[in-house]
Amino acid sequence: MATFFWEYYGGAGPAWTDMSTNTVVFASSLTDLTQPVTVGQYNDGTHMGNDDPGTDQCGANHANNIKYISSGQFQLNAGGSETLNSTNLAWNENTLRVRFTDASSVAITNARFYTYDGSTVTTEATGVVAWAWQCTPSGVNTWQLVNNPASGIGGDNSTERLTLLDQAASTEHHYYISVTATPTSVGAKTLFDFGVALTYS
Amino acid sequence: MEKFQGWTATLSNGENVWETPPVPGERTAWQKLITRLGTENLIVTSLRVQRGRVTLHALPHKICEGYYQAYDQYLSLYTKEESLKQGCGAVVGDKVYIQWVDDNGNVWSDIRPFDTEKPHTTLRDT
Repeated sequence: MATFFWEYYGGAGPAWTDMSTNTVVFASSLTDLTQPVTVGQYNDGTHMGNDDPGTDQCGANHANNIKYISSGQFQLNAGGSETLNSTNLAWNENTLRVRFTDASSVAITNARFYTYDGSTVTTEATGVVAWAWQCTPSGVNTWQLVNNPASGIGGDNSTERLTLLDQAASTEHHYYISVTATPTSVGAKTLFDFGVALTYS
Repeated sequence: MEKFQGWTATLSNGENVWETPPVPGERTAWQKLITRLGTENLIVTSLRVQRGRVTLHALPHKICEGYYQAYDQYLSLYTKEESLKQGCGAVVGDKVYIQWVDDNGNVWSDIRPFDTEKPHTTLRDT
């Protein structure tokens, strides 16, 4: 069976590091994962938490924070607003990397990233509006809305997920993805999970 | 003796070809078979996938243009829920008609555009 890894760019080095059993925590601080994001505002910090949020597991370097500004704009680690593209937001600056490995060299189609409620992959997460973007030179340079409970958007459904580009045969595949979110209500968002799926042969 | 799991293809020369374990760094047995079809001017005349007690049969070759075989896998970040399905299917026009089966014997039907699934079909570019 092939294997997925969820990774963040941080820790010692920094370097792409396996998230292991930790979770992605969106916060309002670059250094303190206990500072919640205000309703209607987007994340100013992204961290690895060992609970909800638990304690910070980022290590020596925190995970990169990518903040939604507008459909084609972002902010990296509280810097200035920039145009969303793979030049301004390089591979190692994204929120996460999905690494997929197989003993054989496999070609991949139909890959997609989505957010969901943690129970049913086709059901949107609650209390959160989220956007995602795949970093690739030949990709689309606008954010994809992947979750909005007010309009029933979210989950592994066509047009409600981030479609990832096909990849040619290889034993290891990387997908660089940025995610940004804003709460629509007060309180921890426990019904908010990420998923990735793909087809290979 | 462990029961065989995987795909089996019957070729136009009467030979049966079975899915073999991965060889590190090499293409999969399915992709190797597709290459062989081109070099030896053969076609697949039937395709089936067996997992556990379930055997899926793709459409007969006389009513399809080609065959499809792939794995579909997903993983969630927080719950670590993971799923692996194996599928076989047939290309008819601009669509691929697929059946998927997981290790628990659950079966799903699926229709996907040929354009996006071409790399997994016997009609892929060599």
